Amino acid sequence: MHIPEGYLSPSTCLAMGAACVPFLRRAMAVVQQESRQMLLPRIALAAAFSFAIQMINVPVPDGTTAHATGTALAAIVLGPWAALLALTVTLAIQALVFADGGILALGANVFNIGVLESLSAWALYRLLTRGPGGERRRVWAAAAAAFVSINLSALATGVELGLQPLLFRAPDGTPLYAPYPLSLAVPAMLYAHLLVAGPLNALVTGLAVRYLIRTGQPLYGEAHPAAVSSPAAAADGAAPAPAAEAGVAHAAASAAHAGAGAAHAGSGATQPPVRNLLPRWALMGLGLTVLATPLGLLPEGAAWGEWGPEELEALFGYVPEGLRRWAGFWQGLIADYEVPGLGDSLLRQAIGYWLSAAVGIGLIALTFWLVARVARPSRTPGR
Amino acid sequence: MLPEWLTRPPAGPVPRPAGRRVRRRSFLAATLAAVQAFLADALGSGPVEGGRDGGWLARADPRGKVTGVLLLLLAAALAREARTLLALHLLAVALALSTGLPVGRLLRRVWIGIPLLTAAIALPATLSWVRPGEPLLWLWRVGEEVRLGPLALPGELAVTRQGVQGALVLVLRTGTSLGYLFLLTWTTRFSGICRGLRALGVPPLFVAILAMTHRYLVVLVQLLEELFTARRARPGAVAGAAGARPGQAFVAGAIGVLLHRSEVLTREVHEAMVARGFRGEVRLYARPDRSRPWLLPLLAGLVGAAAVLSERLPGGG
Repeated sequence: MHIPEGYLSPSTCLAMGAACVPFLRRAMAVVQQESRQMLLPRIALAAAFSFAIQMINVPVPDGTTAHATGTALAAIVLGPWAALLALTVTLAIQALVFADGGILALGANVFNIGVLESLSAWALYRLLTRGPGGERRRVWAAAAAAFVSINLSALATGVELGLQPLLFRAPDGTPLYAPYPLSLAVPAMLYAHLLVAGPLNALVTGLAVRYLIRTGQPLYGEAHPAAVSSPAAAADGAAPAPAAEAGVAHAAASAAHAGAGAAHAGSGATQPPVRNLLPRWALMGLGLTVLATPLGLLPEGAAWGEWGPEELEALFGYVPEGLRRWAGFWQGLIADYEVPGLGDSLLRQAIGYWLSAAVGIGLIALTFWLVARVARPSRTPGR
Repeated sequence: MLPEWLTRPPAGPVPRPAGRRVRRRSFLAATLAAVQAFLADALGSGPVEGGRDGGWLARADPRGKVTGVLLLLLAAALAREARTLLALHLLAVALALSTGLPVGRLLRRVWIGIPLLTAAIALPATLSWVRPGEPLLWLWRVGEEVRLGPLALPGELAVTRQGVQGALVLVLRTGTSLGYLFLLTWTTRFSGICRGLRALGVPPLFVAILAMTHRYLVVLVQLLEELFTARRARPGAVAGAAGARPGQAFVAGAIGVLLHRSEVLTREVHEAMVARGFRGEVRLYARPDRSRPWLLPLLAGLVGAAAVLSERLPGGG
């Protein structure tokens, strides 16, 4: 996903580079405070580690192999700020020595992979592992963080590439940099990452995190299992002396920086039951809303801002070229919410509305159920 | 006299089941290939004749080379026309020839890879569907749009002049930029590139981290190679012999070993630095400067400015 040289305009490269500066400054300050004089070797070795794991291929069930980006893993293992610095160095070396990713585009690559992917992976991992939870929950949280973060990074890459033909083209319409508009660049990037790269990244990250937990190696922001007996000790912000040695200085120091992340240890140990997430009144409200959807049929005209080409022509007298070209591209699963074979009556349209609402709610519920299942704590907490 | 069985090529530890499709490259082989390509690049690159220690470009001041290449990359990024980019690319080839680099190998390295991939990616962007414009070649003209389920395809499809021009400029810019980058890396040691970055105002701490990463990268990747070679050497441990799970467990273990090794190395390197008097302040060792480090950036800047301005001034381009 490294953007090569020539795909982005110099001004985009400059803007993306400038956007990275505050993040890099903050990372420098945090890591310097955490590792003191060890900053230099810590970042160098972290970068070498991030680089090396990108070469590892993993067998996947269909007999083929795939490799992960390792960004989320680096963030979970090294912490967000050390990972950001390590990935910046890794990307710089990849660009300077191996021509992998552009030199001028380095700022954009650091922003997409270093800033966005690593920081979002860390934030999501902390969010999903908040409160008590065992190995299983942390493994699933790592996998979810890897999946979401790589897709966020892909989205940002798609937007940057998609903006190029919009902002930079010759007077005759010739695109000067990446040629695909947002409407194509973003879906192309997202399809590839949602379907292939994302699940693979999640698999590899989850497996590696499981191994690290099982072999007792501390992840960033977590006290060493052997060094700290009570998690409350880490939450107090006091760095326990045993944890500061044996190469886990970052785990202890992180208690002061992880903030919300470290504070979880003192919170209550009870988890709300899942069924409480959907109380009866909410279900009734949802049902009433579904029943009321055909009310939209009664007023004349279309909802404000949801005009089709015909309505737009009636309102303004012309249809923008882009809308005319793309209007018919996607018809939807249930076109105009109408069910074929029910005759042209109000009842037919009402049934179409109810059906569409049910399908929509079902899809949303399925998505949330999957997320909840992934984030569900293990049955054996504290393992 | 060797016995006949000793001269036979070694048989694979697990015979391939008959009647099934040929198994693709295992994760062990794929990783080892990536690792070996990296090590060949990191340890053995550039030593082509006329490379790092040969031609005039190899002897030139690295600070001048880094700045000059950066200016030419900027010129390529600002160029908007295929002929300007082609001229810049020809200049890179001429520089390679004059300094004694193998031009064929350079061109293969440049073009077989990212520019080729770029060309494949940019191919659909030449169509009127993506980039409307003056049609060069009609692919189909049905008139009305064709419906396939919920999708509606346009009734007319042509290769447009704007689309082809855009794709050509993109591919040429990528290739030209890569050409200059390889010109730099094939004639300059990594320490020289670091000095060039320092001269450009990159903070010394960042440059020191870059240099140290480059060194320990090889150490960690060699460890990775040993881990994977050892795994492949064990009969019965061939990938996929019992599904993907054992392989996945091995990979997870390898990542753990790498992490542990990097932690140990961090401590050892730090202790070694402190033992040698490191007190937290980075000082880069400066070699005696070669003469006229400004000459190459000046020439590169002039060429770049000429290329960019030739397109923009009235009467040019």
